[in-house]
Amino acid sequence: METHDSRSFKLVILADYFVNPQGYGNLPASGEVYEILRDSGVGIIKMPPPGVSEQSLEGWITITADQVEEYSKRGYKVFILGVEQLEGSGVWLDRIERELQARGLPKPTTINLTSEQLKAGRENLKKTLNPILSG
Amino acid sequence: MAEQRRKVAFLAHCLLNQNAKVAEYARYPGVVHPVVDLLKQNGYQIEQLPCPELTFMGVNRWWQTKDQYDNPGYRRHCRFLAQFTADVIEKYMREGCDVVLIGLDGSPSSGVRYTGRNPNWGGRPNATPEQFQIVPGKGVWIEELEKELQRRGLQLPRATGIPMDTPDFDMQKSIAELKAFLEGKEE
Repeated sequence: METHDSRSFKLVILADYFVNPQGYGNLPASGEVYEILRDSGVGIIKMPPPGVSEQSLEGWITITADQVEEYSKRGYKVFILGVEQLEGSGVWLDRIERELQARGLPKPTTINLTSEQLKAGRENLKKTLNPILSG
Repeated sequence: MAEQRRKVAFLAHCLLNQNAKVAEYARYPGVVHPVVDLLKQNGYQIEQLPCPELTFMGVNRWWQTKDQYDNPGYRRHCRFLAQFTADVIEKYMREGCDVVLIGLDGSPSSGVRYTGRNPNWGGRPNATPEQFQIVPGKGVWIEELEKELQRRGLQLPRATGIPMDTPDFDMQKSIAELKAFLEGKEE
């Protein structure tokens, strides 16, 4: 569909850490990944913060899978970006994958950043994020 | 010295993801960075509300007014989203955070100060932007979210909207209004 507007047709399902890095103790409190994504024009679907209830999480997983399904069906590119050190990569990755599998849908291209990659500086981060930035 | 309260801003979904907009209304490629960055610079933690329109009607939906979205099925969908969204808002409120809500003024769903109406829309689409009447009021999603917070006995967060769905939208003016809101100086 022609939208005649500025959208990028590219989105990333993102761990809360990347938007709100303060409060994640042993991970760098850096906004670099957010800034790189922001400047690249990719849209962000931020997952909720850690500590949401199981019942609440079910809702978040359902609508996340709904969005992956809808956007993919319409030709938008969807990625997942998590942090290796966080439980479920900070995006409840196993839950999202299970939900997509149950729907017979492929898993989006997924990048899990390590602590070392997070500390490697902006230019190195850009290289690591290249599948999203150039996708 | 007294410890400063943590500040959390709940943003309309499309302020972080312009791909969710109805056709012709994405003004940025992805993140509406002037708004998000201002909030971050002011020490706000960022939370993103779900987009009820995208998750109900999909990304290829037609333009709609509040009059069209004001139906039992759509309100039920908004109530479903409100239940788990309110869980996150409640968590921050119970932790003593200063919570604000930044909607999308002019939107039939996410408007806080203004929404878009036209009781005559419906049937075969032949709409023009001029027929979308911007009027004071809230969108359907914000109404249902606030009802859920009230049902839980929670205080409604201070709220404003970025008027990106209005024809005379001006980012500079909107940022000035948002700054005033954050400083508690809004009209």
